[in-house]
Amino acid sequence: MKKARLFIVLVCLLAASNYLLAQEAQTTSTRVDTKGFYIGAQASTNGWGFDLKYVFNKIISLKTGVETLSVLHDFNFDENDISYGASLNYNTGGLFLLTDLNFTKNLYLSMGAAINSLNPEIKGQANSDLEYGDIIIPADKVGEFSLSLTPAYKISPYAALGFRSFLGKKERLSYNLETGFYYLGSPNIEIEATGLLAPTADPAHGQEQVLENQFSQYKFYPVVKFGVAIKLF
Amino acid sequence: MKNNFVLNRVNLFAWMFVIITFSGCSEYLNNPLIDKETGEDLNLLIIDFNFFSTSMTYKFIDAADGSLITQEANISFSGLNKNDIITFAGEKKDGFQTSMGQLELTIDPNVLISENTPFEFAINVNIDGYNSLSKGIQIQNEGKKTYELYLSKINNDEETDVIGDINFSLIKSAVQSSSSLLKSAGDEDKHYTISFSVNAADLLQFEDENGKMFLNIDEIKEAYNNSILESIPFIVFKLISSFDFVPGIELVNIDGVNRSVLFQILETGLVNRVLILGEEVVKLNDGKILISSNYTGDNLPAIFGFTEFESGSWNILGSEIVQDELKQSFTLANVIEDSVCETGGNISFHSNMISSFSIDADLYDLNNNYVTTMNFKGNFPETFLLENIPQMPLIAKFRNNNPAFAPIPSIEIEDFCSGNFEVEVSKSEDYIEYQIVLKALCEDNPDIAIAPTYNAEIRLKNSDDLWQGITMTGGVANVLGMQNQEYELRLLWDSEWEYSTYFTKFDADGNYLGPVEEGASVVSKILEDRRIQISVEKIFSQSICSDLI
Repeated sequence: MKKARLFIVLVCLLAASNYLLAQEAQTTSTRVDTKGFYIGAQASTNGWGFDLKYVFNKIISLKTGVETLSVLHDFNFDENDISYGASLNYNTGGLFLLTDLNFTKNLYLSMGAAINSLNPEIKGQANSDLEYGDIIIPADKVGEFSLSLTPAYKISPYAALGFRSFLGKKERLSYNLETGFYYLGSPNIEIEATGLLAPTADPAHGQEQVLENQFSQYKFYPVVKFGVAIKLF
Repeated sequence: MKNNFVLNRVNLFAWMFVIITFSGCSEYLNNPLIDKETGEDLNLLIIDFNFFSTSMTYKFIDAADGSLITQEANISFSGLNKNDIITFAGEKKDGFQTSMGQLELTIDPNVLISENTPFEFAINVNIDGYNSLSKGIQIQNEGKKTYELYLSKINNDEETDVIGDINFSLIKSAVQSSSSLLKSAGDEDKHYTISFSVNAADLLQFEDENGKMFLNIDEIKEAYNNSILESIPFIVFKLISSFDFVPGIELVNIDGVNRSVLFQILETGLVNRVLILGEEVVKLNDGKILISSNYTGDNLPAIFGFTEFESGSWNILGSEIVQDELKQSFTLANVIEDSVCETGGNISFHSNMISSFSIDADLYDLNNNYVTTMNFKGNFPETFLLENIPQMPLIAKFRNNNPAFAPIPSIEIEDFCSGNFEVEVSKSEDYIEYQIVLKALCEDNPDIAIAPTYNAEIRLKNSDDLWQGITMTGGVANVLGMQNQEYELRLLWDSEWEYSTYFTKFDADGNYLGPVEEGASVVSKILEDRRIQISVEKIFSQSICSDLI
């Protein structure tokens, strides 16, 4: 919960800083023609990747690219006297097509959509035997579980507010910072389990629906993105 | 001027963006593990103790009327695998008590059971007013086992007088007890005799309340002759006997090896008192009573004689035993058939309905003599590997004890020891398929619920119907029921029944319309196969939660 709050505050601060930076840039930059084709790289909360961007004029840019992120984290936890070994496989990223609308030289509103590959998954299995009454249940009979999450919409709308600036004499190098979100819809949750936890995954008990309802408010995927690009021609 | 206009728009967009972002994210601060509807901790995990592959249901039945004995029963186990029998909470106990007439136990899942490594034990049951019962059991394969244990009442008040006979060296009392194979379809003929005798030398040791009864053999002879002249019985044995024993597959020690055989106790009894010329013997001292048995039927059984139960199986003592105390019990039994298949053929139950079942089949020989009972619990279609089946032609008569099933015709099988046997089961009219989903909630730990793999029973509430066994797997059971009725569902945990109720009353969309008992919730929906699923959530009052979590 604390992390979630911190994250929200961070998004807010970044939005505010964008705004302030824009005001600053408005007063200092000199307008030159930046029209052209750019290739760039970016790192974001939705992964790292590259993009191709065409700046049509001072206002409109079109960009497409891919980003991907895969984080594997192993950890252990205890639940009801059973020790589980688990691994979080956090996969996200996507193929995006976005339009940037510049309202100033530096500030822009980005809109578009992405084919989203968000699919975090936690897998685990008991790694200790279970003391059950007077007997020992071997870990392999306690069972395994996996819980994965996928967005409701494979194609996710995207909106962000960004700051962009050009560097160099000819301003062929640019960098940008943007904050925004993908709209994912209520997440789909898939549970698989064997052994002791098998009923949790049994559709008859509807536990997937219960969890989907509980997590239904998480419809947005927050994005903080930093990118650099170089003008090809 | 233009710059100001643009800046104002940016300002506006920026703040709109922040507001939209925040409004969209405000619910992110809600804890998803708190139930949105109740505000309580979310039931996150549903668990099942499905690591047990063998369940054992013991039913304690009055042999006289077939009813469950609901007096306090003390149960213990002996034999090779006695320590591997546990409760569903994983507890090993020296003894178990129940007054429910039945008991649900299981086997340590770490113990391998197979034809090569059979699971061998004996159950010993003591219930006030009934003869104690011991039964040796050998399990060849895993699965759901049901054992119906018939106990006969002790006839404390019914002594049988046995009048003796005498010669110089031996005082002999040839007497009869009558018995016949139980449930032998009207065959009440006696198949054996039991006689009691005392050597004159032993009789010299007997004492009444005044001391030794005779000083020498001549005195015995004189007393005996006088009794003949006066037509007074010289020696009378006062017996207490029981005869209501059901045959069944038992473990018998034959030539040092425990073997499953078709076995029947013919009679148990004890010499309660001995009267000599009307005077009661109070002490035998070193004197002995010889008890002899003799089979008088046409077909000599494979083994006949006195037996005693020891270390999980029956030992054959022979046709004569000697007792040196009064009130020592004796057991006369015979092995009807010693050719028993440890594992036999396969029997399959098919139906066009989706349902679990508990079907009982009584086996009879071709002379309509009861042999044993087989019990099958599962879900259609299911195949069972038969075990401990007598190798003889048998007729399987399926009990018509489930109103939801149409009567199942009997099948006559030449040899159950091999082959595949098919049984088709159809449902009765007016019965509909339902799916019951049970989730046991624990009052002190709402995070976890239990969806048990367990034997349960249902019946129409407030009816005299027999309880119908259903097979519940992970809390899910396919059952049959009539529309617009209230049903009771119960499962036996730690010698207590846990009851739930549900109605089969729904609207056109399958929504539950029946009342809901306190501490429970019941919802329903239509499944893809058009059956109605009834989900019952109930806070269990029993120790099931504390035992498991």
